[in-house]
Amino acid sequence: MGENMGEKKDVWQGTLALMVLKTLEAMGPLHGYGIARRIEQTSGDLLAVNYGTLYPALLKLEQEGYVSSEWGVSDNNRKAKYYKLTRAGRKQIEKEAREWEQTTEILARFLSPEEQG
Amino acid sequence: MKTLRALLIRFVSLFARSQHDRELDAELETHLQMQIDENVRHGMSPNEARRQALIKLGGLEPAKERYRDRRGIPFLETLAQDVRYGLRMLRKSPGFTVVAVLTLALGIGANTYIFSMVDALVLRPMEFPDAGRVVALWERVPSAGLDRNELSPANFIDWKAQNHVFDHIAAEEWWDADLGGVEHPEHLHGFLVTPDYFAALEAQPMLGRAFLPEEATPGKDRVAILSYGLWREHFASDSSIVGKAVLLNGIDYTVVGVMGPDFNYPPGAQVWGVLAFLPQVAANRGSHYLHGVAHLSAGVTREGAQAEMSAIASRLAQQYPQMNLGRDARVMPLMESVVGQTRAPLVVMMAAVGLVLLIACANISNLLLARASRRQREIAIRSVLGATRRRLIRQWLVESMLLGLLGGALGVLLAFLSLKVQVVRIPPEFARMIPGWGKIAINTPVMVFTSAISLGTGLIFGFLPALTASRPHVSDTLKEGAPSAGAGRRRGLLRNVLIVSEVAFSLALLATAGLMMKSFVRLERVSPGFNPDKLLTMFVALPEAKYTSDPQALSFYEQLVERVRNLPGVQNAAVANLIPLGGMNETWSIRIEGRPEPKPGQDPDASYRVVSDSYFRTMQIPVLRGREFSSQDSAEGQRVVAVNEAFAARYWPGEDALRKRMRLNGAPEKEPWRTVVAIVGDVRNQLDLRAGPEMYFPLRQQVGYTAALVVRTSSDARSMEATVRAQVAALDRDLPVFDVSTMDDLRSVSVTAQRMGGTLMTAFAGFALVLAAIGLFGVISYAVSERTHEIGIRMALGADPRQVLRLVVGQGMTLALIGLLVGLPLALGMGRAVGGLLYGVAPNDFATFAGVAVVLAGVAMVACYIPARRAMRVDPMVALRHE
Repeated sequence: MGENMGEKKDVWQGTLALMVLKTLEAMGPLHGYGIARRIEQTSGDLLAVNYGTLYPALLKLEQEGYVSSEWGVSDNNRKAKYYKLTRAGRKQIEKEAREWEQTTEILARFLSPEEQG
Repeated sequence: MKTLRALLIRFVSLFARSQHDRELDAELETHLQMQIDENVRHGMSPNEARRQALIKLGGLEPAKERYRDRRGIPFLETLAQDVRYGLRMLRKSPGFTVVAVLTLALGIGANTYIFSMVDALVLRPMEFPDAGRVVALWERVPSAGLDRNELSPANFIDWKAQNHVFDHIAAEEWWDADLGGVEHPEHLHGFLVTPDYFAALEAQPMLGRAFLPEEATPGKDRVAILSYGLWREHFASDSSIVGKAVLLNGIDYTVVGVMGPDFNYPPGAQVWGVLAFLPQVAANRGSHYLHGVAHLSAGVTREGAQAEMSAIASRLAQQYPQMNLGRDARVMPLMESVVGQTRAPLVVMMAAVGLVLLIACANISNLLLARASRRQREIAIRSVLGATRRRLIRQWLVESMLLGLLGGALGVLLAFLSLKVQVVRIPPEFARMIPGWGKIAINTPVMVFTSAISLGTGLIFGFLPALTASRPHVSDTLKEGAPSAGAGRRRGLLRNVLIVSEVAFSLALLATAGLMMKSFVRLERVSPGFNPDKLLTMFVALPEAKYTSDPQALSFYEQLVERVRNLPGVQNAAVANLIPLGGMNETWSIRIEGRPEPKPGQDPDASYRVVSDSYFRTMQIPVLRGREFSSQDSAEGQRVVAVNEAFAARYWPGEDALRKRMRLNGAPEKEPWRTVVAIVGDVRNQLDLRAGPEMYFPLRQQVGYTAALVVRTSSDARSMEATVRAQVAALDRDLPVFDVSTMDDLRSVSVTAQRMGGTLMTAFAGFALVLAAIGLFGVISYAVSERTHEIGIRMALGADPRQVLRLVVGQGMTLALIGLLVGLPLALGMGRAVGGLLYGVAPNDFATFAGVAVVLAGVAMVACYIPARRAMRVDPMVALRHE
């Protein structure tokens, strides 16, 4: 499918989980489509989220207890499954965010070596 | 935690698949619709909107697939598929399945059966919280070849006082305890133990307490601890028994404790009393009759304890050279002390059933290889459809493990039934003496073992076929009916290797079985030196509280013998201190007149027998020279002795023993010289041991308080039991009679191990033989069917059918002969391993080896001949049209 996506990038699983959690933190309960759209928009349409990546990720988060889900009705009256952040999910955001900051910080040092000299 | 939780959810969702599938469909459908809605809002036509949405979101099915992989556990799901598929395949060929499962059931059943014994008798005959720290103590005298000798009281007391390696050290001695004050007086199997005894064994009474140190003083030692069995049977599980009195040997003992049901040490013990050393006993360094047990202190290793005990023993040897020269101490794990005798035969049995199972595996491997050829098309199709080799191998292994489990389940059932039958066959009074015997059962450890070998055998016999079968020759196979020659040859070789090993293993088993059976038969035919037919035996122990003097005891014995002898149906009766084949012996140190005082450690000795006048006649032991004992051999008369041939030959070689003199070792004023008045035939005290020197003293000159009554009856000995018991009761109503048996029973019990070993081994070997024959038959049949075409051509070209027969049989017999050659060293090795268990048969007994080789070759011949005859009858025309 990748080649159909044009210049847009696929998301990797590890980062997607954090994006989903952050999205739910910001937006409150949201259905799968909403999450996907929100991630795409936030990324400035640099990312494309297809359901082959999104739903397994959501399922994993649910199995781990970071999100819970519930059937509801969307704005335009479609039956949709709404995902909601759990307390464990909120903690997980802090933890993962910290780890990401650290990782990016370290990587940044590698990517701009001249600053060290 | 999170991963665990996730795994759990995934596992649970394996069972709710369809509902989850529907939900996912709905969810994805909504997602798609929302995208389409949005596209429409951006002004696309509905069709275009749907197309764009699908392009953006990707295919529905792959998305579902990835979702499902995450939802469940893919490995388990495909495993479930494999299991379902495997079961279907097994159902499709019921003939194969039944044969394979039955073969495995017998093989695994035999293993389960033997392992249940190994587990109960060798691995866990007794349970201690910390078994490694509980040790048995022995003396050893390397110069005399004594590896495990009992301790003398003085040595034990010194060991206890001087060692720093044990936190508890205790001793035990045999105690004949007659339980009185109950309706039927009973003789109990009792032990006197020092107060530390239970602590050394890491045991605590279930009720009450163990003995206290101060109870080990004469006068305060009237306390007893009951075994669980005794408490339950004789005291109706009275929970307030502690503090009550029981009558033992006519004296009141206070019950201070009751042991739990799992405590059975020394094996068969029913009651324990306190061992209080009287001063003269405590000083006794020459009589060795105590068994020692001890508990290692924290931080002390057994080697460390051994070193210290050896140092103490060598100090004592210097201090008391007369008694202790050459005496060392031995510290061994108590378990080893207990299982020493049962381990060797059981290890051999375990090896034997292991071999049987391997043969069964080889057979099933062969069957599977044949199946693999037949299923080549199926395998090829599966691999064309994308099954990886790994997946194919797994599929095959799952199938064989299913077979293994089915066989295992049936095998457990067989083992269970065999145990049921056998456990009843050993008389309880003997079974009680074998630690762990009562615990032989199909329990959790046995089930774990059986499950493991069931799966394991599945892997073993499935592995080769799986490897060969999964090597797909797609293009060849899919072309109709053109078997790949290369694969065929490889498979042929494999099958031959399997057959050769089957024959080799069978030879080893047959040879071992042959040796053991021959040994058993030899043992059964051994003459014990007396006539064991129609001989009733029983024991009485005269309580010293009641029989206070020798004449009193003597009068009891004389009246008893007189009464019994006059009973109708009784030919003769006599009394003796113990009986041959009864499992007991008593050896006393002696002195021969005119010989210098022996060097320390080289004491002459002989088995000690005290018998009444009619003993030799009753037992039918030949008096070779001299005379029987008679009333002239009274306490006041000349001291006399009768010796057996072995005694005469050892102590008066080349001389006439008659009228020579000997005495028991001890103070000369207490042990007078005794004149030999008779030389009698040798009597074996144990069937598999040649008689050693034996000496017989007339009862009147050497009264004892425990005695065996032997009664020669004219008809079945057992039928006289009640009548004879009544005579005892008529003389002393409170005197219990114990260990009632017949000589025939004792003889049969004494060869139980050999009989069981021989019979089981023969059964296993027979099974192995049948398996090997079936295997050979299968391989040859298969070879014939593959060569039908070739044979047809040969016949068409004028080959003699007999030549064809020779060709086919020759092929099979070559395999069998190679198997025999390969098996010979294995069989010799097994023979050596059982060498120690054999009686009167060399471990490489030529007749046995030749015999079993001939039997095996004969069976192989038949197994080849049947398919060969079919080959001989091949109709050339049919065979040529065959392909």
